[in-house]
Amino acid sequence: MTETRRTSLFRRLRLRLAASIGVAAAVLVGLWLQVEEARAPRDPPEVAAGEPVDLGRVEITPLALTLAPPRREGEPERLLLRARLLNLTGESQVAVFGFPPHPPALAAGGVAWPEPEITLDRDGELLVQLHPRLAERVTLAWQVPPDWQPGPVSLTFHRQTFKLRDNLYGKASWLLFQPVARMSMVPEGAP
Amino acid sequence: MIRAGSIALVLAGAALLGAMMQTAPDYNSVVQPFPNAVAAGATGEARSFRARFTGLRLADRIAFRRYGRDLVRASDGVFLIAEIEAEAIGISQRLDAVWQGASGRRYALSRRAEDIPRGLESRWFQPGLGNHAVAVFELPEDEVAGGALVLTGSFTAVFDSALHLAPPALPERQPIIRFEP
Repeated sequence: MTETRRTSLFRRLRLRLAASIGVAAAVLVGLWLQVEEARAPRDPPEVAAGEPVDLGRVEITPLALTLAPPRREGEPERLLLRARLLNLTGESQVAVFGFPPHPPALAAGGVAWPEPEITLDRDGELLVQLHPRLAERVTLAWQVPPDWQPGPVSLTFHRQTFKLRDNLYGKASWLLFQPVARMSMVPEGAP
Repeated sequence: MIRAGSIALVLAGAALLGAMMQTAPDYNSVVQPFPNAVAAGATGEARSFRARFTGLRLADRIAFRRYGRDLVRASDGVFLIAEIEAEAIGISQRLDAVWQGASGRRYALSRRAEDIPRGLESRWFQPGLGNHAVAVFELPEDEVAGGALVLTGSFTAVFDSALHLAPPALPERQPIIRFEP
């Protein structure tokens, strides 16, 4: 093999190697950008009372957070979130906050509280269904833990992702939940 | 010549596959019952039941008695009360109803009116025995005109028909309708 031929082969190999590395890098960067886009934000944006939040099936507009006295003697105090709910889908929803249910999550001092009871303001009954285009006012009630000191609390809202054709059967499915908004405030009526 | 023939064969196969992929029904439409439009007042027949839309009433509020308590339900929209007559074919069964509004949105039976007398959700239909039932929906008023009552069997709707029953003439809206046992 002559010196010239060896140099030419080396140069061609080097060129092909550089092109392959470039293509691989472009594919990896593209994939990573897609992962970043799909990833839930670490800190969902802050919303204020009165701002609507899209939760997938419904839109919730938190209106006011208040500390209320116990319903009956001997029971703990309650934290009440008054809100407006609107069904955004084309059919009546029984799983208003998705399935499994993800109602707004309340936390105080980094400690999450158990799920709230949700009642329809119209008749005081539990919320069991929401029809399209019929907005309803509801109250979400949390029982206050005995060791809680009145102060700021945070509410995290989760949105469930809808896919018209999922990857398994190609059917319409409600999939993962992602935190989409956070609201921090001191409840009204707290001493 | 042979090469050109092979290329043409591959292209024809690709075109055929593409056409099949484009026209194959997706999962969402495959698992739906067959829609069967029924004119107002006529009796519609599915594989497992037949039914007729006998009456329609609209009300701002409804009142009924449940577990010994008198209840009144109000709405920002309107309560639509559909009266039907139905019988099963072959085997006893229950029926499910949805109101498909003028916009195409689907309103399920109102769970705020559960356990009303003669309520559809608690009714069984027997073969050869006509039975009456009432279905209550809660919906915006502009979804009533141009809508249809969609009736399906409760258990095997996929391989059966969904009867799209056109409503009779629209009545006046009443302030309150009471359901007596």
